[in-house]
This record gives sequence, structure tokens and C-alpha cells, in this order.
Amino acid sequence: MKPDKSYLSLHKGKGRTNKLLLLLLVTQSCLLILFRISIPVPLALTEELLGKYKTQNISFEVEQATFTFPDEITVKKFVLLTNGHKTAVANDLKIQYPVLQLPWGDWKDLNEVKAKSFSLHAMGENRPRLQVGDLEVKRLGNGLHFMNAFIRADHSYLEVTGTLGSDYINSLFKAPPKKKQRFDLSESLDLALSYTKEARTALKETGSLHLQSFITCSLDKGEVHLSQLDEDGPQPTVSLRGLRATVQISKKDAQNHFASVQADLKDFSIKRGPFSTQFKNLSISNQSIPFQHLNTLKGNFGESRVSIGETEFRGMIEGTLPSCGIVSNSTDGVEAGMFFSESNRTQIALGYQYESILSLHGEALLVPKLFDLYCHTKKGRLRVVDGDECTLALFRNNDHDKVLSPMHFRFTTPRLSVMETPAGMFLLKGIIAPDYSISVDSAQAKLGQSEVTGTYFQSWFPHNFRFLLNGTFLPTDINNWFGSWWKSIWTDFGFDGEIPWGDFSISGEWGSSGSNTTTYGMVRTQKLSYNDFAISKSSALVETDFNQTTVRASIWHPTGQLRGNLIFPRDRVLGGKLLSFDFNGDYPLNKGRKTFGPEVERYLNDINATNLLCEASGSIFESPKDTPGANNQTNYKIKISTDQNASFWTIPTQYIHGGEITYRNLVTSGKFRSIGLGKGMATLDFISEKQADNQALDFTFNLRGADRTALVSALSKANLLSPETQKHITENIHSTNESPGKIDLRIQAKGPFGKFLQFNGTGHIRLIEKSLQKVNLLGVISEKLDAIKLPIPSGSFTFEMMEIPFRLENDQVHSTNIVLSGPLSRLEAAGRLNLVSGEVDVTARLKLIGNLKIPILKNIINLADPLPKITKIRISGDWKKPKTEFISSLDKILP
Amino acid sequence: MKKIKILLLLANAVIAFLIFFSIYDDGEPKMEIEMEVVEILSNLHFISIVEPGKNETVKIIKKDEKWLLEEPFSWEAEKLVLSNFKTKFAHLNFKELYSMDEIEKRGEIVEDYGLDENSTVLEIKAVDSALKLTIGKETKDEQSVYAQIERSSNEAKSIWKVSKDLVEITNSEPSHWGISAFVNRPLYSIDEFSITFRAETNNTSETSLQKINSVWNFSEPFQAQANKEKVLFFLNSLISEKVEGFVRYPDKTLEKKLKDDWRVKISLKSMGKREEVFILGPSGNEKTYRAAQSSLSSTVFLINEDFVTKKLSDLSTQLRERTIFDLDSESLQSIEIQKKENFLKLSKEDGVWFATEGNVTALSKVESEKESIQRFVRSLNQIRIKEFLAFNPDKEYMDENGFSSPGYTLGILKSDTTKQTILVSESIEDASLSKIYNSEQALICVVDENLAEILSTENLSFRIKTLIPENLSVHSYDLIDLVSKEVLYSSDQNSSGTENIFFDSFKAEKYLSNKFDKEGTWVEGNWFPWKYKISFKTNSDSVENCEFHLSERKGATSWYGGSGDQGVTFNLPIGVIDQLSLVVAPDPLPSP
Repeated sequence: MKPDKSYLSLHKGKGRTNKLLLLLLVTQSCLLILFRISIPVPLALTEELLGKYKTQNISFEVEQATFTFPDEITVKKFVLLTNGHKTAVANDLKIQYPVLQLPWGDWKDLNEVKAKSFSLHAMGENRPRLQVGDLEVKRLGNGLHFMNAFIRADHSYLEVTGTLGSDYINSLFKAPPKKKQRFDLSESLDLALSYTKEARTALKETGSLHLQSFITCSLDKGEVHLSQLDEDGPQPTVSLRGLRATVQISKKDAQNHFASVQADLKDFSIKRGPFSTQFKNLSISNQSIPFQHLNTLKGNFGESRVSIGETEFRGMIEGTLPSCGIVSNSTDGVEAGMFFSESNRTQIALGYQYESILSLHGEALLVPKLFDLYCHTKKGRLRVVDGDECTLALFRNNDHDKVLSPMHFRFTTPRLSVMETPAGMFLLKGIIAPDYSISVDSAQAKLGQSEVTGTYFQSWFPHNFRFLLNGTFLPTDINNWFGSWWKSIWTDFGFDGEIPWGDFSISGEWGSSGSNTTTYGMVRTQKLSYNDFAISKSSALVETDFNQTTVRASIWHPTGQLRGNLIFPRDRVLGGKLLSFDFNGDYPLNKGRKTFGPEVERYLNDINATNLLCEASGSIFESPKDTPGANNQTNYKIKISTDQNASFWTIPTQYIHGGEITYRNLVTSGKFRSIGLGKGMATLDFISEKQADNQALDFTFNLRGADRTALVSALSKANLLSPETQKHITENIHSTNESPGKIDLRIQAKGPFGKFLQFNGTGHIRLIEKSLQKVNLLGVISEKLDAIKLPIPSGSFTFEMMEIPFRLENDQVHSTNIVLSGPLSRLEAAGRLNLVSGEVDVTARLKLIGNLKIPILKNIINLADPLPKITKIRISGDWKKPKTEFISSLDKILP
Repeated sequence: MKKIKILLLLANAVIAFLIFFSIYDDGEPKMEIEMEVVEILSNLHFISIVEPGKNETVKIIKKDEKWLLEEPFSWEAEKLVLSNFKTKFAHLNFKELYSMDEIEKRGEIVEDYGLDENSTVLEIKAVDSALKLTIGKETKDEQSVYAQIERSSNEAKSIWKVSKDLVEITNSEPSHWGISAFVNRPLYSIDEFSITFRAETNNTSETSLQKINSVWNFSEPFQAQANKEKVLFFLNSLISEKVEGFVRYPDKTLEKKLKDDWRVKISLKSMGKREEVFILGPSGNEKTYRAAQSSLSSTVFLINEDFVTKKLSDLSTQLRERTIFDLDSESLQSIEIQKKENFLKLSKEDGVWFATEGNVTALSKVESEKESIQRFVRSLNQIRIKEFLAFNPDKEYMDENGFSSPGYTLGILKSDTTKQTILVSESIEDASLSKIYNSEQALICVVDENLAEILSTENLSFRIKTLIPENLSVHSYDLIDLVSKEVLYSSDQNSSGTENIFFDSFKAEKYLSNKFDKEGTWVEGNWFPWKYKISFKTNSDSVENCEFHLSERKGATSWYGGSGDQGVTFNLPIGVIDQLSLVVAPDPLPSP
């Protein structure tokens, strides 16, 4: 039949079935067409649909929203804005939701959600805080949804897949009060952003974490599994590797659930500055955590277990710690558990309890010699602990003062060494305060050669400590415990005799480079030495603060007593002060030459004395390395006197009174008011000054009334003279006179210190002695003259006084007015002496004085005073055995 | 008409089919298998791995919500291994390559993809679905492997490319899947345990302990308290001890031997259930392990010899409580120390402690410092037994060990009238140890403390340390040089606001003597004359100042003082020493 006729037949009311079928056909055709086409969704409709989520600060931007019958909406780009700022963005979003349920439906009615990407953004940040890629959620049967997503935060990502059961998930959480049940998008976004921020902060230091997760939910249970993928590349500050975790939740009954948690980690590393710690083979587990709702879960976790396989340290501290574990038993109101460690070096079983404060009870046995811990310090790589078994027993305090001291302890070890100090026996008892500060109220220690008792206090952050110790105490036994400042105090001390007794307070802060450490203590010693200075006994007060160490001491030594102060700076600075001193008393110079350092020692080298009465003060500074000795800050003043034998350049003296040596601004000056020399009295003044290449010395020496024999004997010992000279003088000293002659000697000269042959100056020698002719002077000239048998009275050539004014010019001594005078005659000479070769060259003339008539000569020579003309004498050659010759032909004139 | 009807019907049917297919569009095969895998893993109850090349087969099944290794032996499976398996499997990438027909058409055989009778076969099953993978060789890019996959949802087999992680999770070694411990109980759930050793003569020695109200006690071989921490330490060792290996195919002889001929039996009761582990004697050439079997499993496993010989033995000594005292000053009534005819009694009267020192002729009673009592109690609580010597000793033994006339007798009376008496023997070899008799336990033992250093019959160390009487209100103090009478320091003129702290802290650190000499004091054989006087000025004119004599500072911790009024000489505490050193100039040093 033709269509028009068909239509007409319908119109006529007949063929109702056909009408229905036609209607159905048209309807189905329309539906089919709808299924094949996508209808753009008007913006207004979109806004209407999203209206219930729109608030004052929330708005939406939708690009290319289309609807495909029956239930699919696709959006090219969906943007959620908060206060005009892009907060969430979804690209290529596809939602399948039963259209008919839209007005009253729930999110769990979703059939499918797919998005190519979804991201969360925080205001002010360039990068998205969270990105989700390839998101797919698809409804399965039984109220479950299939879920797959790739979630990324910075460099970490999580691939998650599995099934979600919304009803079951809801049953795990306590529903909020009715009035709060309305979904607040803004609040949810803020919450999501804050969680992602926390996650990002946590991930910041861990570098990139790549995780895979599998989630499964059913009607009455759920599981979450997590695995980490291995990563290569540099290790970040905090790194986790080999993570595996599982959480399994099951229903116990209608209202109660229980969860089991298990996780393990191959290693967990932390790097902080010079310290690097790696925890290996960590595991965490709890087989049964009972709860009603996850969001009201608190306390009552049951038994949890954490264990660490091994802990390894690298960096400033190296070594390993053995495995350990914590088993916690958390019930209502009580948090308690055990800390265990069991290995060949540890046996630790400590029970802990937390009731507002943490307390421990139990025992820890350690065998330090089996530990391999080392610490890199300025002193080198030191073994942190060594020794035999240590036992620490901790006791929970059940007394009513437990609020103040929740724990007390007892620590014993027969042999323990910390930081390679000598091993010692320790017995410590004390209490631990709620802030975990430790008070050892009874400490006994035998460490190296030290045996002390006392107390110790330690607090944390900052790590302040205080030792209060008394007993016999060898300071060097604990060198390794403190910084170099401690060791430097004792470097120059020698503790060979009895160990000193000390009563010390040492306080400070560990790890603060020692600058905060202060020491105060009294020391009493028997024999010890300081820079080779032997001490019989002493008592000293030692004080150290951030700036300096002060030692105030009274010292007894074999030859007397000394009191004074020594001050050392805490930290040595280049060119800085090394030492300040101030002392008075008996100073054993010969034994204590090195006490004040090489500078002072240099100047004291030429002086010898068993004991000097000394008053000294000064400061010694370090010389700059490139110009040793050039130090313009060192200064000191030393007053010395002695009535005992002393010597200068090995020239012995009987006494020294009023001696004073001052050093300042590179100039050393000295004044000795009275020196007993050769039974006479001498004075000495000198100035020594640093010049370009050498040290210049300018001195004036004045000796009066010295005994010739004694003086010569003393001078013969001078180390300035050669051994031959010394010997010659010694052999020819003798005097047969009952009263040997008196010498006055004055010399003033200057030249380079130590190079006496380069000195220039003037001087005067006067020798008064009867029968001077018998003195071997000038080649025994008197004998020579006597031998001539001049026709003059005998005894004419007796001399009683000699005066030699002289000039010193380097190695030459010149004199133009040498006079030997006697009652009848006078010998006038001029000449020189070479100090190096010993050569003498003197020309002398003999004169008669008084009215001595020499008629024969007068007649012969026809001179009133003919002697000088006829007695011209030349003395030359080695001064020890000079040649004496008469230049005039007197011997020819006379018969 | 009929024709129209038929046409309309046909048209409707066609359109309906078209609509139907439009709605239920085929998903991409790629997504489908991933979803199928997720569905199977979500309801997983069976895993099988067969490695014919190594002749290894492993089957893990889920039974009563617990995963168990079923083949080659029965053992509890490790949860984390299963978790890792599921996670990695769920994230495998699958890409279908060719069906079997297509391979034939290409002229290839499955062996070209490394698939043969020696290939590893992995099978996973859920309730109503299963997946079977036969694993072939690596692909050219070395990122994947070829696998033949059989799906319960699709009968046709095909060759797929699967990510290489598949090989990592396909481990046929049974020890990889089983838990490593042979006792799998929460530590705190164990309420009872016993260790029984059986000799070849069939004689047994049993050590058993029970927990009652969190307190562990021995029930065999004696009744005594155990040390809780040591018991938990032992139990932790027990549940942490790992299996060394498994006996895969134990013969009946071995099983019978374990049942009848065990040498060690561990019995545990936890959460109402009892478990026993039977252990044979040493075995193997080097005798480094022992065969064992748990009552909960038929599997025979191996444990380390050292575990048996070192950890299980001598528990009656190892686990016994070694503290003698567990005292607190609140529940104490008195402590009495007797040494020959001298005694010291610390007693509490109306909450205040007093120390009474005396002998047959004299008595001296002073109020005690609470801290001193507490410190003494702490010292007693810290005493631990180093060695047990004898239980229930007879008189002869007591006399032989120096208890007939003990060095000290320590009697403790608690507020609930319970008593404890300790005798300290005079005979002892090591100066750091003491031998005691504990009457409460009828036990002679050696303790790790030289009790002579703790026990004293002098009350001086317990005397109250406060020096300024509490009823005296002081407002300032002067420090006076005794020789020149000069006031060296007056807190009136140098007020710093810390005076009250100073007044409160002005106590004795330690009393040196209960005598006072107005010239000075002897300390350890050295004479220290008084140099200063510290005078605390009171608020009332009618009350005299409170004065003390002081020596010069003798060391960091030594500054002696004395009080004529109180008749005592003492050392000052470090806080007071520090304060006084700020106001007193350093003196010339004394002679050594």
C-alpha cells in the first residue's frame, strides 16, 4: 500500500496497532538519532546545573560542553575558580550520569567519569599542586566502581587502580551532623589543597617517589596496597627505597571494624649536613586495630611493631648500630610498649610507658668493643666507644616525686673508653627529669690514671652540661672529650709523679666548639713539670672562660717558692697573645729557662743561676712567621737579684742586686745596679734593639775595686774566649803578692749582639798593684829593663799602677796612652792589640820621674831626661808571649 | 495491512537493535583486560606458579580470610608479598598482539615467542573468573615479555606483550611466599608459655611462666616473680626467630619422631589458643639446625641450633626478677639498719620522716630530708641480684656464708605492715658486690652493690638540709670578713632581685660533722679555718640574725661552713658556691 494510503487508513481510525508501531518506530528513530549526535549544552543550562555549588567565591568556566544521549556529558575544558583564581582544571572531561536521576542523585550514581587530566592549583603558585592524568572511574556491579588514575605531585607520582565501594567507604566514616551534611565545595577544595601542600612539603626532601597502588573494596572489606618502583639517580636528602605497604580493613560486626597494617622499607636515608644516616630493612605492622570509624580513631591501636634491621652512619660519624625494634601496646588511656635490641653487641629490653611523660624501665647491656662507630674530629678519626660490657638499668619511679623525676638509673662498666680516652671504670647513678635532662648525682670513675667522684648534669637543646668532679685527676686523660682548647692547656705540663688532686667544675655546651665551656677548679699537685721546670708541689686555681685560661698558682720547687699567674688565650690567633705571666719568688733560672717560651729563653741563655729572686710580668705574643722575632707586642719586665753564684756568659759573679730587664717594642734594656765580679762591684747597662739584619747591643760596664786575680780568674771562664786563651790566662794568673792588685774597668761599646769582634767603643782599665812589674804585662818589661843594667838606681823600674785608656774598633783595641807608673819611672806606650790574631804591637818609652840623676847617661846623651830617647821599647807578637825589643842602641851605648 | 504491520515490526526491531548496540558499545580490548585483571585481583583466592624448568610449583590459596601456602607445603603466607604481587599485577601493561590463528597465518609458532613446555605458568583465580599466563621470552625492547594469555571471559588464546614486572612477581620459590617466623603471635597476647627439655632418658625439665594482671610469674620449676622486661624480650626473640628452611617432603619417620621423640617443646597460650612447637635434637653434618614442627601445621621446618641452646636454656635464671626491693617512700613506714650495736632508724611520723641514730647508750633523733629518704630508697630499688646462690638454705649454710653475725641487718616495714628483712654477710671477696640473705624469698644471693657504701648507722646524711629555720623571715644578708670585720658584700646595697632564691637555696649539700668548732673545721685530715661570716638579717628586731661561718673556697665544689647554733659543719651546694663566688674576690692560694 502506498504511504499516503497507509496514512489515510490510519487516519480513518483503523489499524491502531500499526499506529502504535509507527509511533514507536518514530520514537526509536529519534532516539537513534539522538544517540548519534552530540548536542552542545548551553552555558545557561550548565550554570543552572552547577548552581548549587556556586557560591560567592566559587565560579565555573566551561568550554565546549556537549550532551550525548542518554547520559553522557563531555566538556573540553572545565575550570573551577576561587575568587577569580583558577583552582581546579579538567581537560577532556567525560561524565556519564543517569539524566533522570540528576535532580536528586548522588555522586555514587555516576556511571563513568573520565578525564585526560585534572589539576589542582593554589593561588600564587606557577605549577599545579596536584595533577591527575588518565583518570577513569567506571561503575561496576554491586555498587562498586572501577578506578584508575595517574597522580602526580612535583616529581613524585602514584599510579592507582582498583575498585571502590562507596557504601563501604561511607560506613568507615562517622557521618557529620545533619546540618553539616551539605557538601561545601569551597571547604572541600581548601581541605584538598592543604592536604596536597602537606604532601608536597613531606615530599620536598624525599626527591621523587614513584608508587603504585592497588585498592579493592567489597561490601564488607577493603584493601589498599602500595609498592614503590626502584629509582636510579642521585639520592636526595631524605630517601625511601623499596616501600611495600598494605592496609586491610574487615568488618567485625555491624558497627565495628578492624584494620591490619603492614609496611616495609628496604632503606630510609637522611642526610643532614655532615651526618648521613641510613636505616635498613624497616618494617611496621599492626595486625588488628579495632575501630568504629576512621575519623574518630584515637588511641587503642592494640599492638604495633616497628623494627629496624640495621642503622648505618656515614660522614662525620661512621659505623653501624645493630637491629632494634619497638613493640607498642596501646590500649585505652595507656600507651606502653617495649624497645628491644638483640645482637652480639646489644641486649636491650626497655619497657616504656607514656602517661603525659615518657618513662622507661628495664636493662640495656652493651658491649662497646664490638661496636664499629668512629667519629671524624680535629684530632683524627676516633673510635667512639670501646670497652667491656656496660650495663644501664633504668627504673620507673613509683614514688610520689615521679613528676619531677620519672626515671632513675644506674650505669656500670668495668672498662669503657669514649673517644679513645684511656679506658675507665664507671659507676653512675642518677635521675632523668621529665624534659629528659640527666642528673648523675653519684658518679665514680676510674679513668686512665684518674679516679674521681662527683656529679654530672646534662640537658638537651641546647646540650648544656656540667661536670662537678673531685679526686685525683690527670687532665690529659680526657683530652679527647673537649676541643683543642683543653689539650692546649696541658701541652707543656709533665705529670710524671703523683697524679694531681683536683676539685673541678667544667660546664658548657656540647658541640659548640668549646667557646661556651667554662672551667673552674682547684688543683693540688706533688711533682710535676712545666716546660721542663720541675715542681715539687703546687696548688693552683684554674679558670677557663670563653676568652682565656687563667692559672693562679703557688709553686714549691727544689730551690724555693714561686707565686703567680699564667694566662693563656682560649683560641690562638696568628700574631696573637700566647701567654701573659705575673709571678714573684724564687726562680730556678737554669731549670726554668724554657718556661716563658723561646723569645725569653733566648735572652736568658747567657745568664746562669741556680736560683734568682725574681719578680716578672709580661705578655708574650706570637711572632709572624715570615719575620720571626719581629714582634712588636711582646713585652715583659723581669727584676732579678741573687746572693748566690750566677754567671754572665759563664763569667761567674758573686751576687746580682737590682737587676732589671725590660722588653718592649722590640727593645730589650737592662740595668744591673750591682754585680759582684772578681770581688769588686760592677754595674751594667745595656740596650739591645732589633735592626735590619741583626740585633744591636749598646752597653756600658763599670767595674770598681775588683781583685785582679779574682777578676782574671773569672774572666778566664768567659765563653767568649777561646779555650787556648782561657788556658793561658789561667796559667798566668798567679800572684805572689799578699794583696793582689785592684782593677777598675770601664767599657762602653756598641755593636751587633753576639758578634763582639764587631763592637766599637771606648774603655779604661786601671790596675793598681804593688810590684806591678812582677805582673806579666807588656812582655815582662820590667825584667827586660832590669836586665839592661842601666846606670840608674835599682828599683827605678818598679811600677805600681797601670792605666790603659783604649778604643775598641771591631777586632782592634787601640790605645795611645798606656801608662805604667811607679814611684821612679813611668812607661808610656801606645799601640794596639788584635783580638782575633792576638797580635800586639806596642811602642813604649820609659821615663824617669822625680829628680833622679843619671849622670852618666846625661853626659852621654846630653839630655835632661835621656831615658825616653834611649829606652824605646817595642813589644810585638802574640800577646801571650810577646817579643820585647829595645829599639834604641842603648845596649851599645852602655858598656 | 498485515504487511504494514510486519514491516513496522521489522523496522522497530532493526532500530531497537541499533539502539541497543549504540548503548552497549564494545569497549576496547585493552581496557577490558585491565578491568578484568582488577576484578580478579579484587576477589583473588588462588595463585599458582609452575616453573617446570626448575621443577618448582607453588600454590597459594585463601582460606577463611587467611592466605596460606598450600604447595609444596602448608605454611602461612606473607601478607606483604601478596600485597606486592597484587599491586604489581594490577599495574601490568597488556597489549594484545596476535591470536593463535593469526600466528599460524604469519607462519610462526608459539616457540618463536619463547613459549614451550618449560615456560613458567602463572595462574590467578577469583570466584568466577581466572587468568592464566604462560610466560615467554623478552621482547626486543627488553621492556616487556611475550605471554600467552587464557582468559575465562574469552576462550580464544592469544599472544600478548606484558610488562617485564611480570617476571619479578612470578617467583616459584616457596620461602619467598611464606612468613619467616614459626610463631606468629602478637607479643602482648601471649599469656602463658613453657619450655620443656627432654633428655634421652625421658626425664623432662620444664620452665613455665604465667601472666596475671600484666605480672609474669614462674609456675615451674618454682613459684617466683619473673622480670617482665626480660620475659617480653625472650618472647620477642621467640616470635622473631626465623625459619632456616623447610623439609619439603618429610617422611613418616621424621613426623613420628617429632611427635614421640622431641627434645624440646615450646608451648604457648595466646588469645585462648594453645600452640606447641616440637623440636628434635641437632641434625645435619655440622649440627647447626634442628627439625621442628608446630601443632598448627604439618610442615616440618628447620631452626637454628643456637636458638635452642642459647635462647631456650636456663630460663629459670635468665627471666627471674632480680631486683630485691620495689619500694616507694609513700608506702614505707620505716627502714632500720643495724650494724653490731649501732643502728639507724628512718621512720615516718605524720608524713614527716625522722632519722634516729643510736646504740645501747645514746640516741639522737633529727628530722630528715625527704629527698635523702627518696634517694636512699632509689639506691635500694636499684640493687640487683648478680648471682643466685641458694634457696631455702639451712643454718649450717647460713653460718658458713657469714650470716650468723651479719655485717648489716636491714629491716623494712611498710604501711600495710608487711616486713622485709635482709641480712648482709660480712664475708665478701669483691668490693663491688655484697652477699645477702633475703628472708622474704629464703634466698641467698650476691648483689651488684657494695652495701657498706649505702647502709650507714649515722643520721647525718639524712638530716634536713635546710639551714635557715623555716620560721625565720630573712630579707637580706651580709658577708663579713672575720679578720678585718669588713662587710665585703651586703645584699641590701646590691639588690638584684635574686635574694629570695639565694635564701631558699642556702642549704647544706652535705653535712660533714655534727660538731662545730669556732676556729675552723677538719675535712679529710686537712684544717680549714673560718674566713667569713654570712649573716642573714631577719625582719624582726627581736630575733637575732642567723649566722654561719664560712671557710674560703677550697675547690669548685668545696666551700665549707658551720653553724654554732645548730652545731653542724657542712659543705655548701654548688648553686650557693656559684653565687658566693661572684661576690667574694679570689684569695691568694693556700699552701699545697
